[in-house]
Amino acid sequence: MRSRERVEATGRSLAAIALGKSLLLGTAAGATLAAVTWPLGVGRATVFVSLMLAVGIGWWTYRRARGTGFSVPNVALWIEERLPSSGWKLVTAVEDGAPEALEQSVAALDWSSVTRQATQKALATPAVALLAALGLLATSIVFAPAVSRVLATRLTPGARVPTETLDVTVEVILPGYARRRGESLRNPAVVRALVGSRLRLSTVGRDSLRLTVGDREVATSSWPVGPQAVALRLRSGETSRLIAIDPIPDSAPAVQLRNPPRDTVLAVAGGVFALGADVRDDLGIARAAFEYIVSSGSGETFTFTTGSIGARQLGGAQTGAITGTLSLATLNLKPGDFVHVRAVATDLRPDSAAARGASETRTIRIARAGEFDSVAVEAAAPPEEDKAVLSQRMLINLTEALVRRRRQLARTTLADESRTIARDQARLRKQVSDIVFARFGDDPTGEHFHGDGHQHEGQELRPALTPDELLQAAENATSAAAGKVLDFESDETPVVAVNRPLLEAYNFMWEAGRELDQGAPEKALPPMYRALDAIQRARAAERLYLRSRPPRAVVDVDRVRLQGREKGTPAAREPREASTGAARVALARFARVVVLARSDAAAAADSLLLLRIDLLPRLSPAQADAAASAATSLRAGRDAAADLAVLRRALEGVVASDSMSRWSGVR
Amino acid sequence: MSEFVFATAQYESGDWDSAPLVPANLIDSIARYTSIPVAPAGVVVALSSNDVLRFPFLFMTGHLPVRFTEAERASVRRFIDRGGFLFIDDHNHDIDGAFHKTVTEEIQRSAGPLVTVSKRHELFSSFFTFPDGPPNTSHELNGWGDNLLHPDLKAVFRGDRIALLYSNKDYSSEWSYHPENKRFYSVDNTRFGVNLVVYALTR
Repeated sequence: MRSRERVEATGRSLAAIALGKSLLLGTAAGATLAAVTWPLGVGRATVFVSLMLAVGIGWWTYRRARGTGFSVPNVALWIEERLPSSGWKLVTAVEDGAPEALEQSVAALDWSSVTRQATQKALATPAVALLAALGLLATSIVFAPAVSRVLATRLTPGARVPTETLDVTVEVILPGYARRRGESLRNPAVVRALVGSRLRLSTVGRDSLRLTVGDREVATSSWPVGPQAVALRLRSGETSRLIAIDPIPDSAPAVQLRNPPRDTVLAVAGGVFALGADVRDDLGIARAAFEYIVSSGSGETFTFTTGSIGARQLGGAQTGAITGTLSLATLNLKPGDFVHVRAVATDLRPDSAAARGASETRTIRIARAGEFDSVAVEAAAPPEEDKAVLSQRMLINLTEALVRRRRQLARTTLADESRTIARDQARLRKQVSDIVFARFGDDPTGEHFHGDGHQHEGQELRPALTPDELLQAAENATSAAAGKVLDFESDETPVVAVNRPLLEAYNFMWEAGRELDQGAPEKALPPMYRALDAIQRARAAERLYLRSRPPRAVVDVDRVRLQGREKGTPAAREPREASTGAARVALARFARVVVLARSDAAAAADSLLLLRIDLLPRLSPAQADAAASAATSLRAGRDAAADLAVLRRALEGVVASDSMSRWSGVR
Repeated sequence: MSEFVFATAQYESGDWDSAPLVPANLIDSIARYTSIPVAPAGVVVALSSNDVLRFPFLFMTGHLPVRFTEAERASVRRFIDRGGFLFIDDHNHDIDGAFHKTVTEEIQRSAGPLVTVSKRHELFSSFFTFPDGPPNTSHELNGWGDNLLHPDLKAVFRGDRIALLYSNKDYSSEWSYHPENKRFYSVDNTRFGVNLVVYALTR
């Protein structure tokens, strides 16, 4: 090997030595900084600053060691300086065009010892420094809690000295269906984890770690998070601490039905409905579809058919939309049937029954036959007929039969039979007048009762009608609108308009009765026909039971109790006041925590976590966070007054901060 | 002390008013057998309104599928959490019918899981004694429906208190007759209704 090649190889070695020295020194500097800052809490900033320091120191060291570079002349000169026996020939020998004789004279030179010494000198001190820094870092990690307490005590006047605590790392392993990575927490006061997650707990610098939930000891390697908030107690030797577990339930998918937008009634069972729904979930949706139920029947007999439309696999997406069409023709619907439609979605949880979300339900109803001819609300059917009252149709039949037989009858017989029919006609007219009286006379049993004091704008309360006034109203109604279809006139209230056919019937009945009383059944028939026609129109307008009344579900309590009669009125119970017993107990526990914090901060933190678990359903997220933060502060010896104040306000029921300015300083 | 008012829950879906004579019949029974001050007429209260909190006992029935609105769900939850007693009866005579399926699903969502009520529960001895548990209805026995007896009642508990009682024994049909006709029965079949009300008022 020629001398130039040997010098080049030495140059590469020197470059490697310079690089190694800079790496060692840089790493040592970074480790030293990390060791110093570790007790103050390891954060991303600390790691970043340590890394930057290491890179900076390393780069500065390398630049300094490299000097003007590791070129062949520089290296040859460096060797000549440290090897006087070279006779100062080496620099000349490595130049281009050097004489062969000079090459042979330096061929015997050996500078490996020079290189070895330089290596030892360059790397020994940095290596020692690195070892020292690593030792310092390890010491710092082990004694970080104690150092942290001492620092906090010195730096924060009046801070309480917390007792020794365990240095715990909690690894949260989310369930597989969540499709997310877990996290690792160091010394958490509270661990928030999805229900079904598993926790792996470990501690630094301790041989044994025992974990208990209540009185039950569980494995630290894998503890499942259940639906209830619990406190995990960790023990190692004489030291123990609590960790509160806040389970986060996986919410069911939220489903919003966009189409159809509202309930509807269809006259004909046909057509196609476009269906649309939006779904979203906190973790992911597995499947969404539309469900329908067809209800057929009435009264006590119903049949049901169910089905599903537009099913779609969403593959774990957090949001999605489904669409579909509902063809009513395919459902074989009949008048009076209902179709209930809603959208449903299931999330990724294996327990699909618990993870099912559903939208509001839309109801599509097929109208019953004749439904649109009625403007009345059906009351309950009458219990039994008043058989003493003949119908107008029966009276007409009797009168027609009498008219057919009148030539065979004596005048007196004809008159007697005619008056008999007149009495029945009068009784039926009385039934009609009772109904009209009930409405016009403000009887509380009537449909539109003014007894509660309400009054229509521009309309005074009507006093009860006298029979003469009723007859006058009937005549007016007859002359004004006989035979007209039901319609509201401009100056009429709906009550008057609805009653007009009945007033007509009343008037025609009166007229027919008068003719019958005079023994002229043939003259009574025309008004009887018109009365029947008016009654038919009234019956088509509303549900009337001329021959009996719907039941009144009012119990005469005193009569049942054999104590006489009384018309009672329903009385409502006052709402119950919220119990304050639990709040008092919670406040007392909180007061004990505050007292305990002065003497044993770790115990106070544990008590606070237990109190927080018990109160979790009552606390807002901000208040729960404040309680967790207070426990962390107490355990670290920091000032927890602000967080404790938030919790105290929550326990005392003081108005929360949501309505206050963010500058108020009140949380 | 204010008097007891029998309240019927009116909900948006289905036919909430399918048993109109049950309130009067149970009011009659309460007046007949107990000394509880009772209002002579029941009231109808919208399930979604805060007015439900004014009544300790709420009766709900129907034949058709039940889908609560969000307001109704919240109201049911609030009602039973604050000490109310909600009695839901399936007015159908079948098993696993639409009302049963839908209302149990809504109960699950609104109140929590339904559990079987023990035949020795104090509900069956709070006034009258029913040693065999919930009394059977004629509709279960006469072949109207599925020809099956539903031997147990289901309930949602709040602590050790029944907050929501669910029956698919069709007490709505059994009790929906005019109280005057009670005299034709050798044994009044509404006595269990008295137990329900007494339990609701004393727990």
